[in-house]
Amino acid sequence: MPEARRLRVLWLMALALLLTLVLQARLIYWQVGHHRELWAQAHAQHEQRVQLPAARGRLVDRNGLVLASNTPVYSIFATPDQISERAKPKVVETLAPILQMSEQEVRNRLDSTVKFVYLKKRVPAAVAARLDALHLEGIGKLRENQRAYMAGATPGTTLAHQLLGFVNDGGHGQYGVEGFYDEQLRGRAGFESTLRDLTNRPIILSDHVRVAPIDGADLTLTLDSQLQYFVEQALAAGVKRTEAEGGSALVIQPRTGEILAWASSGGYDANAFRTTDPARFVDPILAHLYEPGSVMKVVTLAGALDTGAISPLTPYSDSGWVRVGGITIWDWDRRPHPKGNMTYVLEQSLNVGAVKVEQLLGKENFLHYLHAFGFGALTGVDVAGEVTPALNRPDWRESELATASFGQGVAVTPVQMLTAVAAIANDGKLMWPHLVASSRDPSTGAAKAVAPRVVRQAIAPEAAKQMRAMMVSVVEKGSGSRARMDNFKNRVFGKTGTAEIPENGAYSKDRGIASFVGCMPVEDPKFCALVIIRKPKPIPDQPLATEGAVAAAPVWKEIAQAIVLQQRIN
Amino acid sequence: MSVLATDRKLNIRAETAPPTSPNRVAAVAHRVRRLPRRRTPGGALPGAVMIPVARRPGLATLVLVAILGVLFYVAQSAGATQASYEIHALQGERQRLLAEQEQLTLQLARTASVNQVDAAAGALGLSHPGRWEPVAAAPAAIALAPEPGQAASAPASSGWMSILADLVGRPTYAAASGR
Repeated sequence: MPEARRLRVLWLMALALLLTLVLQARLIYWQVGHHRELWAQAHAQHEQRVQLPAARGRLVDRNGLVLASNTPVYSIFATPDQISERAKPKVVETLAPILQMSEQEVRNRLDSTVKFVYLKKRVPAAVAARLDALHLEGIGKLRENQRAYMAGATPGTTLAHQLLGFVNDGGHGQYGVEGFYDEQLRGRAGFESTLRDLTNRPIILSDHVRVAPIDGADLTLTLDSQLQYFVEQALAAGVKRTEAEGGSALVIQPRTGEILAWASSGGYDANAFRTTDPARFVDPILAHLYEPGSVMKVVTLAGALDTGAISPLTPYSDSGWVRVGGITIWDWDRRPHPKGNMTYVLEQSLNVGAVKVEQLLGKENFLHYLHAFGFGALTGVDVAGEVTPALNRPDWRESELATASFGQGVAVTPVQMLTAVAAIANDGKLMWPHLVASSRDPSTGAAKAVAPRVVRQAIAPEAAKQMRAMMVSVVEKGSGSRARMDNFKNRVFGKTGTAEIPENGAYSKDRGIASFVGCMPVEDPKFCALVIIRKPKPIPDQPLATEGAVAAAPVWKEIAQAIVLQQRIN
Repeated sequence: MSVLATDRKLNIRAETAPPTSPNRVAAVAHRVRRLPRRRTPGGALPGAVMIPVARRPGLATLVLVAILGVLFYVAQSAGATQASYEIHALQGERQRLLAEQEQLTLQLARTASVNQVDAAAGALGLSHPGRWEPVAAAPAAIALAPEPGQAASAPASSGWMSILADLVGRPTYAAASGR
């Protein structure tokens, strides 16, 4: 018996050994054979990688006033499987009024079979704080940043909306400065990788990897908020007064090319871009081509002055019309002008005079000066969405060149037109128009200034000086009389423009584009401004109501007065 | 570790001591008695083997040390995890404060914006002038208040101005002094 007992013990021991071996083999199978796979699974379960968003750079004006900043908002979400059926009615009842949703809407989302569902996106921090205090089960929040813009001069708009653009829900800049400088403003997101416990809390003192985000650069614009606000107000009043379809106004410093104000009517609230008609996002100053009308005579005559083909006192006469390339071109008043000179041509804005000057210049020279003043090429202004038509087509007809000399049949953008006239104010030097004065690296705090850039010498300084004097005469004696300013006699120079609008292959006779471009003071121009009023309403007993002289020049004067006061020009 | 190291040093000393010196052996034996015996007989202390010594460190002691070690490790880990949670909570608080700061900065920017200034000016009854004309003026100091001591004497220099003041029911000395 003892022998049998001993044998049983041995069998039991052998069995235990066998079981141990099996267990150990199994352990080796999993822990050695499948080590990599299991490690990856465990890692995925316990480790969480969280993106650390970079703060978007702010936009401030030349005086440091904020134009665009960031504000934290929260997206509220639910994990429906973590909300018990018993607690659900209370959660629905509590959430609905706070999130301003109907109870049915909240219930539908909580009844969802998915593990994660957004209840409401981008609610203010105050709402998120109220929810935090309630400690509702299965309800969480995600922090996001939202761009915030300052209020504009007219109700329902934000300041310089079309110029600044906006940032979409994905954090990408759209249109304007936001679009153009998106990469610099956006910065680079970082990430954090930590182990998490069963309740999903991070264990920071564990295997922890953190790559800090790089915040976007702050941009200081050349824009002046106060002036921008006033320009928006003046433009809105001008558009309302003339019952026009719309308008644009642009102010630039001719010596540097710095843009001081940039406004268009028909704006929008960049804080509410989601509910805005996308057509309003397009900036007319950059993307809408227009025929400048008589403002173009400045370029035609400046080219002729530069070549020496004419001087301000070159004698001139016409019969009120001229026939070129099979078409008849009339002066605006359809009367003969038997005695005058080239200054008189500009003062009275004579189309026939401009055609004759263009013919004196010749096709090659005329096109050369169009290019020299920046037409047919992008100005390179640092705002997204600039367009330009090409001018270098070989098939220019004689009649087209003739009409182009007084700004018909040639399309430009307002920013091109103002840059060209600013070159005359700047002794013939065409400057690069720009909006960003400097950028600041948020990590180092170092500011990098943007230097003004001369694009080219469009005309000689002497020719520019002669043209300025001729344009002073336009304001003092000619069509620009409504831009005259008290105490600035003979110190304002400008030019009116009235262009017909091509519609269905023919020019519309009743409504056109009225504009006025001017700079001051003539001895040392501090600013140039262009005002465009689109389709001002004709007034039966006032035939000049739709002209640039009547519709646009008064708006220019209002803007100029504000600048004189603000910059203490005397 | 330090106990074992000391033990080994003693062994070396014992080996190098001359075996024929009874005093030396006694001295070594005395010192060895006070030390725990080595678990593994290395034969390094032939004289000491014969002497009755204190108890060897038992298995229970070692288990106790191991348990203490494990407990220490667990306590450290728990402490680190707890610290992690506290750091996480502080990070959350920091985020909340940063968000609040951002909101306040924006609020400040909105308050200082041109729109607000314009609205405030409008509420005060200020408006843009319809027409303006710059006037050339020589710079002159503006006296905002009379000098102390002059205030009392000003009405005294009245003459016809004091009669006018009586008529209009208002002091006129500011105008009379040429301001």
